[in-house]
Amino acid sequence: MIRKAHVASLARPLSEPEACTDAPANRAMDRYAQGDDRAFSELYDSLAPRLFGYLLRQTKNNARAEDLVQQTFLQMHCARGRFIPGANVVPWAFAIARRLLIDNVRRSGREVSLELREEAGAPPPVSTAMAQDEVVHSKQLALSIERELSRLPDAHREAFELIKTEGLTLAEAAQVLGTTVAAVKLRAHRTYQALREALGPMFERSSQ
Amino acid sequence: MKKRNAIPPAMKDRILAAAQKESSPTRTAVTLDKALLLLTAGLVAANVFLAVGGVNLGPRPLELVISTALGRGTIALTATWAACARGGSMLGRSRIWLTATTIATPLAIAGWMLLAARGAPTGVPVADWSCFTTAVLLGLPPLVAFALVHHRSGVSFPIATGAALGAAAGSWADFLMVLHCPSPEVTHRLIGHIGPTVILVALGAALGAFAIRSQVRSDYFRTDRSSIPGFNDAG
Repeated sequence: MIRKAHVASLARPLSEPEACTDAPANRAMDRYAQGDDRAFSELYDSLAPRLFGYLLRQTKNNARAEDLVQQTFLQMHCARGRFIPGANVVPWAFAIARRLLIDNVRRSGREVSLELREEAGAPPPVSTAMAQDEVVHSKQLALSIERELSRLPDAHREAFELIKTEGLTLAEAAQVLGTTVAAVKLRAHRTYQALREALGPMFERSSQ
Repeated sequence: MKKRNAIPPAMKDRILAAAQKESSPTRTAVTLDKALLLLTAGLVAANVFLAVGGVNLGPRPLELVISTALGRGTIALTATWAACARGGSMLGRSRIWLTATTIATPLAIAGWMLLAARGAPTGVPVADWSCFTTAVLLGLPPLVAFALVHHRSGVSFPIATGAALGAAAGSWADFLMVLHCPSPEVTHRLIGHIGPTVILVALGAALGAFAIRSQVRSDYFRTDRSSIPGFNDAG
């Protein structure tokens, strides 16, 4: 679930958001809003992996994540006529996915427990070319980060994951979470600090 | 062995098939619907305006009425843009922007009113409640239209959006009241012309909570998922 590059990116201090090219998805959504049905396939290709990764990380359940991805795309399909020309489709898609997720959790009455998270913390797929100690370290760090993240408040964890894992900018994450950029920055920074304090040298080593 | 986090290849086909089954309007159709809705609201408000007596200059000079109406019309247009336009984002404006719109709109109207009241001649006294009721009635059609335009739009702050839409609707009501009510009395105008904006803001916030907020749950149950091939009901 967590690749080495991803682990390293989590361990990097918060800085300016990395450049994220959402242009193909935006263009596809724009065309789809205008009535070009073929653009929906392109939109799916651009967004589905990110949405699925996000929802899988939140639910720890393949079937639920799949179901939520499908619902997210259907909602986008139903609302395509309202898509504003030039708007960014990514925060919108994540916001829909997040609302569906919250609703799903409320409806099912089940919270994702720590146990479930630990159970789901299966070893991440790693490159065979990696050195053995790197593999071990990466696995350990991934599990530790997962565990520490699950102990943090949801609001902090979510802000951190949207920025560091999903690659959203601070402004986009703020839109998805319905808060200010300053609040998102603070939450993500506190999460980063908490991870650094909890994981100490292991975290520092990965960030180098 | 299947990877835990791999997207099932069949999912894309399922989603595309489901999208094909459920028709959705394109941007052109939605824009046309919105235009028709706003036009209808304008016509309803115009009918209410004519029903209560239409333009009534009273002892006011025509130039004063025109200049005041132009100023208040500009405020109404600006408030409508600030409340309705989503700032290039599908998730709408920030809460600060929307709150500022809600507060600044009646303040701007009051400011303009106080400036214009200086040189106004004495007019006939008009009952506060009469203008108050008329202004609420004039503000309701645009408010409902704005709310319908934003219906289930999924903006991040539906209540703040609704309140800002209420302020915008109130500014249009005030614009028509400028043409209708000749009373130059400041207290009357504050109560009868700007007071309704507070009611419309409250109504807008309520509409925001119920009509503008994205109703994901309702959609979930409304969608006939059994007709979608392979649509699982996990969770």
